[in-house]
Amino acid sequence: MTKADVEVKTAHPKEETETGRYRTPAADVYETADAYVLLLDLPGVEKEGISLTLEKGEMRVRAAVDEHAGTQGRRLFSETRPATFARSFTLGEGIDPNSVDAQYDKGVLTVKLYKHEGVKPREISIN
Amino acid sequence: MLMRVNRFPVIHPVLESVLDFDNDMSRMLSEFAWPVLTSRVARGPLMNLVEAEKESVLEMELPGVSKEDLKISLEKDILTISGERKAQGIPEDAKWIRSESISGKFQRTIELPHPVDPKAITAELKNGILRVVMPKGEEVRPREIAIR
Repeated sequence: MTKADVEVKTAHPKEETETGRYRTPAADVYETADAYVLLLDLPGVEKEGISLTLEKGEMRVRAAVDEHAGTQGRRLFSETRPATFARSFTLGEGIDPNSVDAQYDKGVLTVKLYKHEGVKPREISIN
Repeated sequence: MLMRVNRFPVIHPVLESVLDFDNDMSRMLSEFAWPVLTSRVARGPLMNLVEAEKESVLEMELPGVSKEDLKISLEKDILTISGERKAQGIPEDAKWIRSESISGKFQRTIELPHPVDPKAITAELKNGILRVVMPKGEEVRPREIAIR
């Protein structure tokens, strides 16, 4: 295999960058014997606000951040802006799109993309 | 007026050299693993701080940080938030393909715009956001100093 089965796209599609309301979350990916594990930093979103879609070999993650409407006043530090986290991933042939687990904990989304049976390493017993 | 240690995007250029010294010192004295980006970008986790009528509210992005690895302290009107994001552990036979998140120790020190009653501070860590609510404390009552 020459290329990893999970390709992380760093740039957003045109329609997203034009609106300027999107943030690119940091992504970590590691590969195990039977899966690729993707970790995305999505601080400040609720689990229900995360959308994860798989279509034609592409996985899209979207997550809207609460605008923290509760606090009105003088802004002394304003380093983040309310924006939707957005990032896409190209999934290779080796991944089984029907076998994906996802969980959200401490502001990090973990997506486990299992490999097709055929590409998993197997130990063959010798008769 | 607020920024003693941290820099923020609208800082006045004249203040830069003074703050450089401050920042370099604090970096040498601690174990920051956070990258030094450009001169006008905050070091460490990003945050928002809003001063409302009765309280100030600080929100800091801390994805992947456990409550046990976080420390908040207040000394007079200086609030310090420090902690560590532990590196993601992976199985022995696994290999990294991409690694963008920042882990390691961090610290941010903020001079608050008003006195705070340390007993009234509340802090909550939820969904990777630390929210610290700091009710304004009683102003120090003006005192007359007797001249001897």
